[in-house]
Amino acid sequence: MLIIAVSKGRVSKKFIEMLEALDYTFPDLNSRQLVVRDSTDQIALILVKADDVPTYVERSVAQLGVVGNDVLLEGDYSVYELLDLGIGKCRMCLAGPKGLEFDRFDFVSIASKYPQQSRNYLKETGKLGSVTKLNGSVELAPIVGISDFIIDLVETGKTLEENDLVVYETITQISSRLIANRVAFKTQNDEIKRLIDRLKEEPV
Amino acid sequence: MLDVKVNAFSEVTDIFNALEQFAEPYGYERFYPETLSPFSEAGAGLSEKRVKLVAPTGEILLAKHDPTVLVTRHASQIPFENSGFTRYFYTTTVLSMEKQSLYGIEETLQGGYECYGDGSIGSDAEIVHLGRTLLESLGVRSLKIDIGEVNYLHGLIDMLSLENGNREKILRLVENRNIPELNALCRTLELSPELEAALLEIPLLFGDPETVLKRGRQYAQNARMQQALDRIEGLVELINRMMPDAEKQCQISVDLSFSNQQAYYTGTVYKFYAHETGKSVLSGGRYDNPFGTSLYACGAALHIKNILEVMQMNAGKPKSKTDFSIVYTESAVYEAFDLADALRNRGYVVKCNALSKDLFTLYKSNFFSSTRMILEMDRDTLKVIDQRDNTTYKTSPEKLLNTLARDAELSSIH
Repeated sequence: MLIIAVSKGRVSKKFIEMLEALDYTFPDLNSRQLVVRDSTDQIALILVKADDVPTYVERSVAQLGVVGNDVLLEGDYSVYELLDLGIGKCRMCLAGPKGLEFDRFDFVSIASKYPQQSRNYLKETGKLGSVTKLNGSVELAPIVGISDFIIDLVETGKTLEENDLVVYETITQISSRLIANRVAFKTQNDEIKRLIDRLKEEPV
Repeated sequence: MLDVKVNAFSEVTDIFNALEQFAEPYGYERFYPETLSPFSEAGAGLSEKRVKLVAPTGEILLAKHDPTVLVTRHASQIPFENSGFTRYFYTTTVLSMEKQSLYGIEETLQGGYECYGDGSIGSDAEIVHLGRTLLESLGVRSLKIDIGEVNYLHGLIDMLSLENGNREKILRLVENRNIPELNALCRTLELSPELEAALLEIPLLFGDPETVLKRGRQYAQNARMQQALDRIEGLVELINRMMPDAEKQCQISVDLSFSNQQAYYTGTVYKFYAHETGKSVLSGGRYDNPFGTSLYACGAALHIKNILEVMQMNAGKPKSKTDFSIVYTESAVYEAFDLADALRNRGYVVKCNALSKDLFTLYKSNFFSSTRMILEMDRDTLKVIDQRDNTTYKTSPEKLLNTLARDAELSSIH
């Protein structure tokens, strides 16, 4: 049996739809259980917070995981990243109030849920600056004076627009990835490869 | 969670003893890594993680540095004409800076063995053979052994004319088998179709030796890649010959995606996994020409924590370490100590404690969990609780000692 840790919410809903399209059925899906098995006992899904998915996979609790590459970029996880599932697509962007010129700042303050990515961005652009970690409502930071800019995920750009913010640069594309435990990928390769091949055939 | 300080310490001793027992017949000598060493010995890319001290002279020192670096430095300083082939093993603890550890410093157990002066696949095969033999002696029998060669991937990368950090990026992506990002990067590199196909295939080139070597040859673009495959083929053949029974217990696989991101290994790489836990229990490889010398070098390190995990899984219930636990009331202290002495003189392990809490509370705690017999002692009575068959009876110290003397089975309690 393959145990797959999946980020709870929209991603798990979409991933389960992909599995159902491959004829897997999950009879316990509507219960509040955090572990659901398919009717043939080939797959068990562990539904966890997105940030915890790589840990479950790294620690061999699950052989596979489904999580956005924003989480993978932010941590230093020892897992294999095997497949872009094409779900949860969005962009990681530098955004801020209209009319700012990033290049003209000698010292840039950034607020983000992604402090590591923000530090990397400062490093890559050669700017001095400070990074403030926020856990939500990041768009507020420039409005209330916590930072000049934010680095955040942008899907449609509507939330930014509503807060009078604009995108200055797309840093990277984000989507959900299928990750694997390094040892399980080798020891259970046949099962994993079979699932990957089937998922590849499934249009998102 | 393993408590290496107490519960698993005897197993750690078993591992270190096995390393000594099996390495010495191969001609390995014990190397004692020094506690403090000059900062200049940190080795490329390793200094960040090392624990440093400032000596009264102002010199920066490394505390409990990686023994592989120390033993290799030692071996590289001996001229070949004086040493010929040298082999060392070591068992020690290492300090490293780890953010998540208490105080930010972690102490880990390390054991390994290194072979110098021999560049042939014979010495690689010996490292693998010794690893398997000593792991087997520790009960880690069901192994998956991965063999790789870093020159396969590096031979391909040499042909890609990469710039702007793309070399490191590719090594990282192959190491993480990050196929989506590797695909994306390939699209920006404008590679020839053959090179692109080979690069995208490498993360998938692992599995049974025959198939992987055959597929690997299809994608080999130059002599360096071909030679890497030749070396693996020769090594796998030699290992199979040295371990004819390997097929039954071990699964030998080839993995051509070893990326050597740290630029440490120069040739063959080997990694052992335990099937019971799916974790690596030994890893090593060839790192010729260390410190700019012309020394051939290869070796392996044991992953002690992961080996302990398998050993504890195999052991089942913990062995009883105490033969008798005597709990005595205040009035029976002399009698209890006399009985404890008499039992210890007969070779038994005896714990003797005042009955400060009631027996039931002691039962609920773990106090008696590794005890075979509990002796509850009052001035007038001795109650025996035999945990092997859950029997309880009253006796006297003299009768108990007489029974033990008669009972041949009990005399071999261990």
